[in-house]
Amino acid sequence: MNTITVRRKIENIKGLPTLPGVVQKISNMVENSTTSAEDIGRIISSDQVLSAKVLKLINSAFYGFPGRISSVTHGLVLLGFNVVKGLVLSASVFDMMEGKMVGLWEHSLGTAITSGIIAKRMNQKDPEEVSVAGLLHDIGKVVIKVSMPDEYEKILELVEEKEMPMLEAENKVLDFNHANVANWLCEKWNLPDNLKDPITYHHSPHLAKKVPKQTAMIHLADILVKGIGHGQGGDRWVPPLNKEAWQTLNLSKNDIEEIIREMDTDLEMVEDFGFSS
Amino acid sequence: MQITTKRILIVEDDLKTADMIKKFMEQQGYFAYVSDNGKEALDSVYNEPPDLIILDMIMAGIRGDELCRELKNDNLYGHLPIIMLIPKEELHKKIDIEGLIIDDYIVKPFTTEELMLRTSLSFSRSNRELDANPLTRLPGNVSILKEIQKRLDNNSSFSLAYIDIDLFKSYNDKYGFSRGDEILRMVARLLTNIIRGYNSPDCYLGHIGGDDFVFIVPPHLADDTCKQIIKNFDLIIPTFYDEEDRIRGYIDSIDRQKNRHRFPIMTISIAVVSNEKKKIKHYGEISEIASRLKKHAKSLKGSIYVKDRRK
Repeated sequence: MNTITVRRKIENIKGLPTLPGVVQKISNMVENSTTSAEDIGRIISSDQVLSAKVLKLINSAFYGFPGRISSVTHGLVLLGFNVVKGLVLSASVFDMMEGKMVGLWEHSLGTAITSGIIAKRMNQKDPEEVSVAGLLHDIGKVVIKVSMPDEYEKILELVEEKEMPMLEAENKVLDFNHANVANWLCEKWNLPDNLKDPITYHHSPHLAKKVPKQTAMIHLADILVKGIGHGQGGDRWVPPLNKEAWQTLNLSKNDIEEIIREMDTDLEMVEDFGFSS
Repeated sequence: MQITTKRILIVEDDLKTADMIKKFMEQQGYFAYVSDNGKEALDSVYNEPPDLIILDMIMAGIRGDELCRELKNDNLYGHLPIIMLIPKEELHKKIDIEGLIIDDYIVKPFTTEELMLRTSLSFSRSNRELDANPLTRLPGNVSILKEIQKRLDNNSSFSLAYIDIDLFKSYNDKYGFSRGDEILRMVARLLTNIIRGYNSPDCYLGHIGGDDFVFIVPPHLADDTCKQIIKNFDLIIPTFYDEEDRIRGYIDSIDRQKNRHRFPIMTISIAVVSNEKKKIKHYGEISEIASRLKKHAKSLKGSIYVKDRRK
């Protein structure tokens, strides 16, 4: 397959579908006159596709400050209630609820929450930004599924039958992987470097140039979420921890234990978030 | 944004008509694209904003007039010219043209010559929108003045607020004018969402120029409005600084005399004057009080709003 053609195809992808439960929930909220922008913001911040939509739109040239906004909350304040409403109502949904997709959504939200926990623990100045990067880190997988469903099936087969890591299976079938795909989108959508770097390099954090620390946080969060078995990121095994990332983070065993303890409580709270309702 | 080929979005559920318009527009050198329903049209507008919309009034799902209202209520999208296609039969019914906020209409069936003329007319008219601030598309000085005088003449009670960004110059000096423009667009957007969010004809927002903005709200909303503006401004402004300055919390710069200066992160000052308890007849009076008050607000540290308390 010709990568340039695929890249063009992916960059021009119009609407990424999200899970029906989330859209339904927000639609109901919009009907209700007492709903505030904050209420809707909370739900949007839990959904990778809607969050990506918000960030893509507010960073588009039309608004006149491309590449500046990396927080969903800021995006919502600047887009305004009406545009956000329109954005959600015009969102398409997956026609069928698929178990694997729900799993990926849970994994993404789990990574978002865990990245936030790590960022706060390391006194990162803007933990929400890290959390957004965590939420979007696997957006490339959604895109591959939507734009190349046949190849996506082949990838899943390799993962299941050959017990291959997802990234390797993608490279084998496509010659590129979900991290490359996400990088193309981040560029096309003018997302700030603080998001682009961690999303692009979450599997190879030693390559991150602009924000190596945040990238290492996402890398660790991804592994921890897979480790405790929350959601379904696609892999059958927990991927190895990158040595350089571990050194960058400079966390103690005690820190990790604390982080996992916090994860247990926070992830439980979102468990029945109603992705499937 | 520099776009050479003008983009036209055609929203029409009758695909034959849509295709006819699209082909014709392409012949005329425009870039044309079609949405066959309101929902998708909204998505198209957000994803690839057009320069003009040709909109069928009668469609299943979100109707043309609803879509119109949705878009026109926004400082950026509201600026897109809309030509509405109205079926001949509809003309007999009473059309609420005031409520439609469209820029022009064409009765179906129409000839391509007419369509072309109407399209060029809409483009040239939108270029002629003299008073709007070119950067933010908000109403400029002339409209602001008229708006205030109109309220004074009507004896309606209102609060008028002058907004000014503190330390804006330091940001411009450090990062350049185009980054400065980004700040103005961001602030305009932030204000639009708060002021127009009230969805009331009593609320008004204008851009005097540079880093000066004006809003008018009913007196009982003044405090809340100011608080929200300050909250949102302080929330977002740090992200417009480079990481180094943001973490440090200030800009370090050296002036022509080689003196070092430290400029903290920008803040916002708001001066509010109300005609509730005071008789004001002329625009000049109220603007004089407001400027004096604004100077006072600017002398205070941090983002702040001050109200005129004299009777």
